Amino acid sequence: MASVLRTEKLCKSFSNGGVQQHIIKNLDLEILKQDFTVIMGASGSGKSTLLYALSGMDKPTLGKVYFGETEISSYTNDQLAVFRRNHCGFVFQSIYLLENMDVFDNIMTGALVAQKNSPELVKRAEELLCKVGIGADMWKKYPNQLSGGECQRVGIVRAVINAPQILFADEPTGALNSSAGTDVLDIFTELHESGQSIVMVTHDLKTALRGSRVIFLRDGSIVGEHRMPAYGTDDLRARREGLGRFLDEMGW
Amino acid sequence: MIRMNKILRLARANLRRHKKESVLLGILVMLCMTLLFGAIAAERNIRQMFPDLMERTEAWDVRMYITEQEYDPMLRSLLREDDRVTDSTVYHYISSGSTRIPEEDGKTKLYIITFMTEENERLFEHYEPQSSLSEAEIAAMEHPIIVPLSQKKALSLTEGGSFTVISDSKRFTFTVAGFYESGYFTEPKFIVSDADYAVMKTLFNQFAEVACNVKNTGDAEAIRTDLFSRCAEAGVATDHIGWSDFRSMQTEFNVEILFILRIIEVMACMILIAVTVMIGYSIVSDIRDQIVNIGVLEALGYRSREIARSYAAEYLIIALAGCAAGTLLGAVLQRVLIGIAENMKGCTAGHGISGAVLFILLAVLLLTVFLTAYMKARSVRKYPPVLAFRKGIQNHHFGKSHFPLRRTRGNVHLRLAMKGFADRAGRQVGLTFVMSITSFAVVLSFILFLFLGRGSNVVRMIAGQEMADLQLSTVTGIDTDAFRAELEAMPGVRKVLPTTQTSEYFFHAVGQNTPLIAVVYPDYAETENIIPCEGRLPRHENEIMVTKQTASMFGLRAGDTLTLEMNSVRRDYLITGIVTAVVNAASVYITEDGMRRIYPVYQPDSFLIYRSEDTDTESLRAELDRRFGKSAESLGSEENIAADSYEARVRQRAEQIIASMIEQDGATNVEYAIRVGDQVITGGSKEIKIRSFLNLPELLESLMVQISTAVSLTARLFMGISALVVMMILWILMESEIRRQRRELGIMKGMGYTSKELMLQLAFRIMPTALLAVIIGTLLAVGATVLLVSFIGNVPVNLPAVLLLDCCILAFCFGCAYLGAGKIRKISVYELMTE
Repeated sequence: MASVLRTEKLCKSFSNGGVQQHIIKNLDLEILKQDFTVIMGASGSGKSTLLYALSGMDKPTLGKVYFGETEISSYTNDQLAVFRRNHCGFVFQSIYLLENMDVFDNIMTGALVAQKNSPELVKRAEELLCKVGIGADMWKKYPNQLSGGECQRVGIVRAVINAPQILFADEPTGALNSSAGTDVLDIFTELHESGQSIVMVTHDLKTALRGSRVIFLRDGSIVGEHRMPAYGTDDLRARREGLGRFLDEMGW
Repeated sequence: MIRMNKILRLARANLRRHKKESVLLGILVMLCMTLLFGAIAAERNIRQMFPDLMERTEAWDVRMYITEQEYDPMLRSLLREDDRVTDSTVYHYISSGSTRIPEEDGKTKLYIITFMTEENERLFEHYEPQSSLSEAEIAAMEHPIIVPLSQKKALSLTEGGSFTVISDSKRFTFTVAGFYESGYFTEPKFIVSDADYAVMKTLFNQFAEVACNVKNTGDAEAIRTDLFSRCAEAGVATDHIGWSDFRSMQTEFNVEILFILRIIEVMACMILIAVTVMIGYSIVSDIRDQIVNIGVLEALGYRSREIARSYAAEYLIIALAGCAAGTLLGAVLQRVLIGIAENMKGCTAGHGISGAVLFILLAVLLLTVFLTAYMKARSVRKYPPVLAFRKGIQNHHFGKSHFPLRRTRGNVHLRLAMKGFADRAGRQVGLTFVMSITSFAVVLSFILFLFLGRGSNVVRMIAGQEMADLQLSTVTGIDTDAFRAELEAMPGVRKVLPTTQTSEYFFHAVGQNTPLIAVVYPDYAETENIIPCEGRLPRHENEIMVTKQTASMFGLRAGDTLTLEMNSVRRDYLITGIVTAVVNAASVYITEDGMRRIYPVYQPDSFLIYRSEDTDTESLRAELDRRFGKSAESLGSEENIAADSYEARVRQRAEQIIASMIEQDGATNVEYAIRVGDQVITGGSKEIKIRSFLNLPELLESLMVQISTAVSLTARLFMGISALVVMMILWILMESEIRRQRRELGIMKGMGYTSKELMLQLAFRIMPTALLAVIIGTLLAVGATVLLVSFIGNVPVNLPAVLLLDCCILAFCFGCAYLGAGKIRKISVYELMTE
């Protein structure tokens, strides 16, 4: 599989009260096309920082990030915004829907930043919403009128409406109950099956099981990697045990 | 005390959170205080300038001026009969409406001037010349002149330097012997030697002035009415008497500078309104932004009243800082304004600052800010802790979705901006109001600037007089029809209108004392600058038009009938229209036929000459001189006989004497036969047709120059300050919008919207408000110009220019909003996501 994202000696540090905190240290990583990469690690290990550095939400302190053959780490903030709109989709733990817009407008806000409006685009948005279980009766509702699971499903549609080359997800089930979380994960699995490259940060074993590759981060460095067959193509118990063993080895 | 500390601590925390907004608001308060304090403090001193000047110079309370020919000594005797008059005097002076002074570029400019002898000056006022020159040096001067201090700087004159005055072809060059402080006089008054005065007397108009002091200056108008009644009984003509009393002189003296001060005060009030609106806007935004924290404070035991007081304290601190800086700057502005007034009026004013004024202003400003902030902040009462934790009901949308994005046709940013605007349209009322006021101010200033900023325009539009390029008065006895035809046939002449000299004929409205000046034209359709503000021009012999002032004085309206009297002949006339007139406010506009109804022997004695575009005024005048010989006025003063032949020199000398007889002795026809040896040289006054020239537009322009300068200056100041206010309002607005929408903007950045796109969206979002405000402001300004018609005449509105200005205002608003939204760049998506 070809690589879609690559980092070289990626470093990210923050200054906190004059003290430098090195969150990511000389990290080399390659994200492969159509792969479902899960980043795991303890709190403060740098998972989210890595996700945002990879996605162009934040700039690295040192090192380089390549999207294909293009270095994006030297981009300006506005260039990074254009990069995000054209190539990336995001699903957040806090969902971050625009509260002053209804469901459909939330989707269209994400869509129209990257492409012109067209009947096809509207149709795609409608299809995607229906696909994730958000019926037409909910399209005119505002986020505060939806449940957390429904909001996250809307968030996923907003993230994939532009058919991004890579979908980033930061603890997408973190704020959801078990049932809603499973529904959301099923959507991710479906997306992966359809060929979507996904990078997901989680500290939940059940969520990590959906991935095809698990990277474990400790103190800003990758300390281990575990590969799994695509979800649903193997025995779930064996899959869980394999991942459990890997995480045990990592001391999780 | 503990409670106070608590409130102040919260206020300080709030201030730290929105520093830039606080600074901008502080600047607005400072600007308001500067303008208000500067103008009000200066006004007190400036108003005192005139009474102080009158006291220092011991000038007279009431003055009546009249031409020397029409002066009757009985006037003073009749005046002295009034018990309210304490003392009186009579003095004499000469003046001319066509004197000029040379300029550095070799050209000359109109400079209306009065000359007086020292003896008369001492009668007029307390005269105390100042000079560093010795008496011997002054005595050695051939033509010494004492210059009023007001003209020292204006004309850059120094002691021992020369000062030249040109009257037609005659140049009078004086040596400046010193300066003196002159009491209020319509024109600059120069003191010359008796010998020079005697020479100039032949050239200038001679006036006598009867002046008096009265027990109470408020009685002046009653004294005038009684005096004129006694004059009428005694057969003393009062038609041509000009009247000035303390109050009218004071109004005239202060008019321009007080106009500037009023405008500054209006500007300050406008800023104060903007401050209150912006405080309201900021507090509402802040409460929405900080609603969770407010809930926490309430949960911790803070009462909503204390939180509201903390907001009031926050804005009070800002206002205090703004007022402190504004007081200092206001004191500077006061000095500047007094300096301007001193320069304009040529006399000194006090510079004291009243503590009471300062205290009242500070109290008003601080109280306004405190109350506005407190009233707005009281809305925290609506959020008990639980509701506050849930971000209040305000964040919950259940209403209609405006501008749905699925229907986006063009630019998504524009669509999102309109969506944002529509969601908050109800909250834009305050902003629309403030921006409408500022737009109104800018557009009105612009219209007035276009109109009054250029002297000639003003004169032509508001003078209420026909403005030809040249006005020539003829000697008596000429065939006016033939002369008009001759003038019209001249190259470079576009049009000729026969009329009468200003103040030559007077009417009386039956039952009224005030004489009315007759303005006579054969056909008003031919005039170009007499434009009625109500009704129409007179066409028939029984029709007249009156000035706005005459109409209001006598309670007349178009359609009324006015009975006029002239030389005991009474005639009724129908008033067809009302016209505004800045000069000669008590006038009646009548046709030649109408004039002959009441004065059958009426003949025009003056011609208005309009030049064609390819000729300039000076060339036209030179051509008139060449064709009709020099005017009697200039011939009468010619000293050098420059002709080549003996006969020509004799003729020139004879013409000079005839001109002098016509000009000064009222001769109507003179013929001569001079025998020199065997030769008899004959001639007569038929060769002299022109009595004098007058460049009316230039004359009136020079009269209007101060008010036009004041308006022009103020309009520019108004536009500048309005622009500054709009800029700061928009910056404050953008700051609070970004603070309030930080989360949404961060999410959109995360989705891939660039900072520039979001800045554009925010800038576009205020454009409907700005557009509405500009439309309202423009309509109000145009409406105001219509109202101004009643006061200053027909103010033309250059619609394309106003529309262009509107576009500029909108572009300016957009630019300011875009730049003000620059803080979006500082929103870090990463920080927002990891909060």
